[in-house]
Amino acid sequence: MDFLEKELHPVIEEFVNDYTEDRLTTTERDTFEEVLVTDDQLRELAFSAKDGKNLMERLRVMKSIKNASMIN
Amino acid sequence: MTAVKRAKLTNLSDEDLMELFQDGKETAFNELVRRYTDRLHNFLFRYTQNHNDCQDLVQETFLRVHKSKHSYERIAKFSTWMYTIAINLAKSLYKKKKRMQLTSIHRDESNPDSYEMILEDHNILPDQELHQKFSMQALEAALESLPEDFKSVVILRDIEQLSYEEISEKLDVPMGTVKSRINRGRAQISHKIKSYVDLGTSF
Repeated sequence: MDFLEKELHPVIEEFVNDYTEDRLTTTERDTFEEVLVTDDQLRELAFSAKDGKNLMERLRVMKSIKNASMIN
Repeated sequence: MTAVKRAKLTNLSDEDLMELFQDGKETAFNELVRRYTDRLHNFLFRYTQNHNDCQDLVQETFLRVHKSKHSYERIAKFSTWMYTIAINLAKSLYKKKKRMQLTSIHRDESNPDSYEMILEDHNILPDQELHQKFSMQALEAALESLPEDFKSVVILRDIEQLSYEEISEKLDVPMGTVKSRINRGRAQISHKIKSYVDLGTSF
């Protein structure tokens, strides 16, 4: 997974982070997505990170459902 | 959660709890789960007559409630809204099972209209089926298999929901490094899960 090795400028890293957590404004997101179209490795990182974040969200909710139903 | 806080939540109506949950109070969601797990299971059992299906459907219903919390409006009773989600999921499952029962891949020689079916590639799954394959165990295994530096930040951010500042302080790591590790940790989880689903192998 080459894209994991790639060193990014801290500002880009922050963009990936905000993109993953849906914290970009519409304009920022559109601009960032234009960058993603031209950079394969960055796109791979951003899309995978977003997917991984959703999976962890699912795990967190499943854990909380499990814990809450055990209280019964 | 303290007993006092819990007692306060138990006094609230479902709709009040849902409102709190929409405002970000996760404990309100937990109270709804506690309140409805058994009732939902009994409700779904009447429809499915199968306890294993019920367990999956109860979990999927709560996951949908969690994901769609902002689509709930107070004009409807919470229970009606949630039972509608549950019954729709049960209907989908029933349809899927019915399709599976009716499908035969063999050609019936005695029937001139019968033909041999070509099986689809089952590695290509629709989104919902794909997500149902991600059991808690598979997700936990993916998380567990990450290198320690990545695992700790993902757990602190995505499971324990700490802020970036808190993670940076707790681990004594610069904020930029925390963000970079979280991006890469999450990306690795996605890849591990994809290879798990594609190859049907464990981590």
